[in-house]
Amino acid sequence: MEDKEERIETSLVAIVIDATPAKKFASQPLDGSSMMNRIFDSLIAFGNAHLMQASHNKLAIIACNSKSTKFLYPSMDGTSRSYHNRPGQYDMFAKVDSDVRHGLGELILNDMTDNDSTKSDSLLGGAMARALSYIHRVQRELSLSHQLKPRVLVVSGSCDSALQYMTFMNVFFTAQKENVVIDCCMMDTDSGLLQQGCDITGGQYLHIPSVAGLLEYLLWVFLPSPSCRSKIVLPPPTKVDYRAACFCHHKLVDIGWVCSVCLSIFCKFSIMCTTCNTEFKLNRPAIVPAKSKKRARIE
Amino acid sequence: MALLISRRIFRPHFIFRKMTSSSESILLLVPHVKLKKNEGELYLMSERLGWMVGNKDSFNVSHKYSDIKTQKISPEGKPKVQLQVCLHDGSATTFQFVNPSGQAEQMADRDKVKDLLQLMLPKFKRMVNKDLEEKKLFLSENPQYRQLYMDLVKSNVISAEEFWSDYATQFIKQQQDTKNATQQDVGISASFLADIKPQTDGCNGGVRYLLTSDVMASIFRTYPSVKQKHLKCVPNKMTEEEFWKKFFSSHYLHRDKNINDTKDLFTDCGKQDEQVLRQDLTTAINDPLLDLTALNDVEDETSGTPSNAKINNIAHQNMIRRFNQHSILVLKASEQAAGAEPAVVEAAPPKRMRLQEALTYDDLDSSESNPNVQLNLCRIERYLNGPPTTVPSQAGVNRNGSSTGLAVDSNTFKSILGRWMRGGGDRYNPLDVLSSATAVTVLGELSIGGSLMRGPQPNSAIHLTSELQKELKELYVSLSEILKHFWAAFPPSTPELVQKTNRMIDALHKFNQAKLTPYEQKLIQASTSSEAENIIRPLRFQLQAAIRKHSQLSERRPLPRTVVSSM
Repeated sequence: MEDKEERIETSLVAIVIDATPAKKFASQPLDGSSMMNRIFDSLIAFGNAHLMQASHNKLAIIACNSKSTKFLYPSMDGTSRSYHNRPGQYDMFAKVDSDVRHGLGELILNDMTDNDSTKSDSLLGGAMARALSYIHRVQRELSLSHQLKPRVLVVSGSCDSALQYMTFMNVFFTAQKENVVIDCCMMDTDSGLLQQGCDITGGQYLHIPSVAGLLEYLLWVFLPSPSCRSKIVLPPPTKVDYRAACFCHHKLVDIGWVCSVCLSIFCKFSIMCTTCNTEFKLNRPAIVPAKSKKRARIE
Repeated sequence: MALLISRRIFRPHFIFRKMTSSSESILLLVPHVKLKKNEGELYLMSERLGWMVGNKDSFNVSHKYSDIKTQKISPEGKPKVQLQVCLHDGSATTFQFVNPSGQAEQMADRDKVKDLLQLMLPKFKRMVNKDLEEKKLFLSENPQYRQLYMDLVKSNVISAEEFWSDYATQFIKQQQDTKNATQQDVGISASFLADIKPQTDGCNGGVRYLLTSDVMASIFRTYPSVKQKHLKCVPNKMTEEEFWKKFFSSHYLHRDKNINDTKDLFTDCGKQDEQVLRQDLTTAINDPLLDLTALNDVEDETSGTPSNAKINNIAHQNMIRRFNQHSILVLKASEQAAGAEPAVVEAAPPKRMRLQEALTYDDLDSSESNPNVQLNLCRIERYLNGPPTTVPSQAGVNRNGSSTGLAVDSNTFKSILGRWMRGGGDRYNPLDVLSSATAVTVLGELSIGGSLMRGPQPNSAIHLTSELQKELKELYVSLSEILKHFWAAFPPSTPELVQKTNRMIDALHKFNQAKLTPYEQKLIQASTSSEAENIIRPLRFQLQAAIRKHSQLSERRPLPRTVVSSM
């Protein structure tokens, strides 16, 4: 008699919402209310849809803007808010709904005070790091009879931030190590860093042409778990541009010169590294002066 | 017609003129021997055997004795009287004896041939090429090498020597290991004396001992003083037999050795042994920390120090003495074997060295710290932030209000947001979130052929059968081998390396023709041609890169030659 006890698979989706473009979307009217409403409602609906898949499924929602990141669900405040659920609605869905509305609203309103500082980028790296920490914590807290299958869904509309490169890379490599799949749903713009992250961790990257159908995109592409994605026909992965930019000209280079001490990338050979002042010794014949000599002779 | 054919086949076997036939002495000539339905004569010479049709002057078939592995004869009852000669390379030639005078004559003929061959063959028996045998064994033990061998050498892509020169490292190491295994002298079995089973001679009650030279050598090694005695006495004073009789009957051999018995020949052996032992105690053991008296297990109860009281029991004493002698001989023998190196002159006195060794533990020592070089960063933000991402200016975020011209001011925004926050619960209308028309549009984009689904699908690769997969793996392995040889010869500075690159390029072309193209055909049959191309692409890419590089080099190379010739 085979005594195989299957571990209960608990799928945890951590949705990372980038709330910085909220104002932009609020300005786009759509069917009476604004696009912003639709986006946020779609996210809540997606979260609830995931919870509906299986009773053991878990959900986490984190939002971020240029000033801070905030855990929306499960809410970190001590207060238990009263939520009104519609008759017949599962209580948990109502809780998710009310938590997100309240938390996200507060987050955006807090940022309203600083209207003029529009140059700052959203703290997506930090929010993803928080998501990973939460996943790690849930992993530790779950009993051995449960097997956690975590993934992170990033919904964003902002471009790459140049300052957050290291943070993003750290997050991606950690996720890869922890077997966490990072999916990304981009509205409006493309993000090279998030493309790389999805590629490294084996997730799905999707750039949506129209934001109106956000919920449909989410349900179609991102609701299935990574294990069954191989059996479904999904949008094919895009070719990721892994080239790094050189430090001197900010040009994307395929093959370049790298300082062996500080690992900074240059497109041309120079005698000294500008970042760490190490000297480079290379036995190269001086080609350039000879050519000029020859030219002088001919002329 | 049959004759002509047979002649053509047999031609390469011989280069034989009549004059050479006279220089070889014919040991036996048997007429009426058929080979493949042609009648002729069988000649047995001093170095080979040959068969010739009737009146020719050159052998149709000839085999050197050294090539012959075995001979076989047909069983007695068979109507045909035949003799088969098997060669080392596996081929066999069958001779049929058809003496017209009858079967008995035929059998007699065959027996003559057989006997002569039996005489001659052992003389020429060639040592089976050990090397070949070992190689075969190696190939049979390592299936992946055998596969490579089949792929590369059998289809003549690389020559066999190159193949072996590559795996020589592993193979020759194996060989050398077996050769270099330190030859240890075979020691004496501990029970050799007991093995000389004395057989009681029935009548007199005496015992018979069977002595072989091995046993005698063992005795000499165990009892060196007996050897000296033997040298002295035999053959001058007594014969071997007497010596050994005396030895076996002497008390020296038996346990209850009585030194005081002067009648025995071997008593002074005992005294000699004692002397040698004492000498050895002082000189042979040069371990300064060793204190033999500490091993004494007889302690005087009254005082703490171990006493060297005489052990009263003679038998015990004798036994202990014998054990000690045996042990010291063993020690000396082992020291001899290991001590082939010259004694190292130690700078510090050995006792100090030993103490030092006992005190220090290597692994507990702190490992040498690496000298760290300080990293001087003058532009820290570069180090911390990594390479800059080429952001297409500040699109998106920072255009929050600017590009659309602040379409929404903060108050309106607040009210919109406030309305949304209160929007849950009963005020929720699902159709606000997703209308059916939008959903259908999105579905269209996401279905196969839609705008988002352009591009190579990763999962639709053909499912290769396990055979095809295996063949693909083998192709990869063999191609990598050839390419390894090719690229290892770069840069081709000497003419041999140039030769090698040329050879490798030929090998690559052959590989392409012989292996790659048929496999591609198979793949195309299994699925579509575009998929097959995708699968083969990496292999072709590597091939093309190598061929391209080679053609580049060969173009450049003729230049210096033309320069020289013009001058």
